[in-house]
Amino acid sequence: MKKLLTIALLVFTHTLLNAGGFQVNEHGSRAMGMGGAFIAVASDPSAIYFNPAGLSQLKGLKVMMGATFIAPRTTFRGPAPSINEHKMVRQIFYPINLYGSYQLSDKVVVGLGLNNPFGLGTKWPEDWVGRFLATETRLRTFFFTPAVSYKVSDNISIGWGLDFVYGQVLLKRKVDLAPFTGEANVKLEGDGNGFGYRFGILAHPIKDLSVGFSYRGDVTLNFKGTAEAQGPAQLKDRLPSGDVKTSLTTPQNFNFGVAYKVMPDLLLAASLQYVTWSSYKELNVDFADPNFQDISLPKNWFDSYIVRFGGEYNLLSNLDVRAGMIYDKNPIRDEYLDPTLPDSDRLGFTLGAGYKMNNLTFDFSYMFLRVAERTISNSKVYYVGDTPFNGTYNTTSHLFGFNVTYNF
Amino acid sequence: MKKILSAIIILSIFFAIGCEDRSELTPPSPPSTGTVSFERFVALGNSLTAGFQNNALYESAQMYSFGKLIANQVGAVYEQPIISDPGTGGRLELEALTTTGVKIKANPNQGQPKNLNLNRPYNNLGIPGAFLYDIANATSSTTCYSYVFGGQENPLFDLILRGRGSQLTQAKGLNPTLVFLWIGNNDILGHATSGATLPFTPPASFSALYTALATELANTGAKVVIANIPDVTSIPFFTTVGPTLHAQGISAVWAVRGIGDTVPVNVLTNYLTLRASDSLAVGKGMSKANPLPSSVVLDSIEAVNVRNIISNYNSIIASLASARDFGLVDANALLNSARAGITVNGIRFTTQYVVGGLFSLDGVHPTNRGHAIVANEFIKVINLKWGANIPLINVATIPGSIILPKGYNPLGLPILPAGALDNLLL
Repeated sequence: MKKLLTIALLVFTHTLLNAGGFQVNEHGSRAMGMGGAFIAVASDPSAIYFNPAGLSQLKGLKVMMGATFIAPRTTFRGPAPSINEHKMVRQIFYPINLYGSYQLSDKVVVGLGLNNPFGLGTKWPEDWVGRFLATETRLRTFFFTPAVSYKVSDNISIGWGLDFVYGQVLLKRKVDLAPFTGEANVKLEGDGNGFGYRFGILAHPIKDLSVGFSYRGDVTLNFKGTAEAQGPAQLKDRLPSGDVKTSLTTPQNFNFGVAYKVMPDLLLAASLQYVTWSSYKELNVDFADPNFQDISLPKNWFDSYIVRFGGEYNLLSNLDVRAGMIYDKNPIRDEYLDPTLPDSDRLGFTLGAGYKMNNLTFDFSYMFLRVAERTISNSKVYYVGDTPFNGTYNTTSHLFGFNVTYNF
Repeated sequence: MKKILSAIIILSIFFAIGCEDRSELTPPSPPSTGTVSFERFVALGNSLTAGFQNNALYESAQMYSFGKLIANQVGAVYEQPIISDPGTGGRLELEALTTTGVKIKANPNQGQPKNLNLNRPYNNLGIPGAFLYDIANATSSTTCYSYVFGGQENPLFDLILRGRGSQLTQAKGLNPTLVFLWIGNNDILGHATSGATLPFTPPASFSALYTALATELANTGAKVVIANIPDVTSIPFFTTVGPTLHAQGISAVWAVRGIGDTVPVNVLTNYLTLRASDSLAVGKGMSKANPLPSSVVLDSIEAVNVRNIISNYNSIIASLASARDFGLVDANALLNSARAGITVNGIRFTTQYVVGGLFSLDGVHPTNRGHAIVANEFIKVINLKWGANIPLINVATIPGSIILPKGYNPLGLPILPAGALDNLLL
């Protein structure tokens, strides 16, 4: 019976492990329309996220708010050798963003940001073949970021920000009760806080050219929560329950960007984002109840990178149109990929528009993400017994962003 | 500029549409069954073949009878005499489970036959309670061994045979391409589970009956797989109560022996059956004046005799398999290996009562997963003998089958309702 427990918990913590892989980079519609190649542009209040040095370009008082609607579609075909198709339950996520900037002096601009840089979720049918791995996984983070920029000279600005972070995590799955009939529902829910910082540099070495660098540090979220199981009364003592503690460290992001005004009306930009997912070497989960064995699991992710290209064209005096492309390398090794986060390399195409009306600016953006088909044949994720969860994942995603900015 | 923009727009649309256009995956090819045809596949036998579990025959267990599981692996037709849950009556269910013991209740309800009107013999002709004699000779509840030699009707013969003749007659009527036969367990098990108070089939009779049966089956021209008899003293029916008492500090109980005297019997070297638990619960066995009846104790001498008889049976079965070129499933070796614990598809199984995962609550019959493990032994024999490549069943995908009714009542010793196992069909 103790074994039943241990297996249950092993699988359980594995799902938590992968929840860290969700990084959302779409936190401003103008940036999103340009494929996120915004590090050397950063000329609206979302600079707080992309490159706080960019705040120094902003005059007066500005407030910017918006959201990104993300609608992923995922299927799994397997477990091999079966090719039966299993569809993820469709959900729409909407990370929000809210920024304000205020010019204190010629050299100093302060800002305040709120957004959800890590998050997303997956939900599979209650009776699907991988239900012992995951039925629902959700991670949400709120970054509350005060920032300040300083204009060192006409050509160089620097900026800093502090991150006060709150996170929530939810994991649900089923547990096979064999040799007994039936299955139990297990839920792990928790929340926690963390702290981080960021900084950036923006320079204009020659006319019409800008280069930028920004760094977002890692944030360790210490989650506290409870494990809860619903199952037959006979097995009540044997299913995981009680207080649980775990921590999750987000990766560092190094962003390098360049932007060039090719023509008076046309801005082209590119950036490279390097993400240190390799810091995820293992994950530990502590159960307050000493009857449950604490877990320490290896994960060994790769560092990854995202390449971004984008452009903005001033079509009419009050209308900009934008487009961009993204290639996003996934950090998860084949053997650890599981249905809580069926990630793969992503190719994204973006379109956007910005419209100015008096003191208001409206920005819209759309992104189509093709997540490369990924076939796993060496999985170390076991859906029953020691049977690997091999199969083929396919994901596409549509993202819609909008923002409204008010210039006081 | 416009060219770049329109190129990007066209690319985006292309990918948006292209997202549904995914590569084709190759479905698994149907397994080769070698020189064996599953077109007309029939299984003969007793409760083990029938898929009897937890002291009853019921649909949700019949779905996992080893024959049905094998039929599923190759996509064969396999009609069974389905009885809806909770089945034939008296199904045992686990009311409580604690670190020190279990409490079991018998479900008072019965199900209904669902496949009575099939206008041909069932593929699964296994009848709970059947003896070797019955395969060729029993045609009804009053012509079966238990009635002819013990005056005990077994209505399941009527339910499964439906007046269409014996198991053998019906199997031949199907013009079978493949026959499974697993029989003979009851010829010794009834003797053992009754503490050696009921008779067993003498090996000489066993040999005569089995030889005649083997000839009949060989004459059908079908491929035949037979299975031998496991050492019944390894099953939880015999290995649960004694060790539980020992763990509670009781090393001997008073019992009437086969030869009639009342003696203290060591709880580890003798076998107290699951049926002893209700006698123990009312205080029997704790004094010479109030001993356990002989029928709930298989003493060490009786056990040796039982093993010898099984060994004789298995020699007979092995030599017939060899002479007739039948496939032979060594069920005895399988159970022997399980005693030390086996790991299948990453799951650990033992012969321990309830939590071992192999045996249902009656302590005799396999669980769903136990059936899957047995099915795999049949598949291995078929693959090896006839060049098939039928994939083994992934035992971990087979659901558990010990039933947990509503209610929770933690207690110590295994507690069975009085008489719950009196009519256990084997």
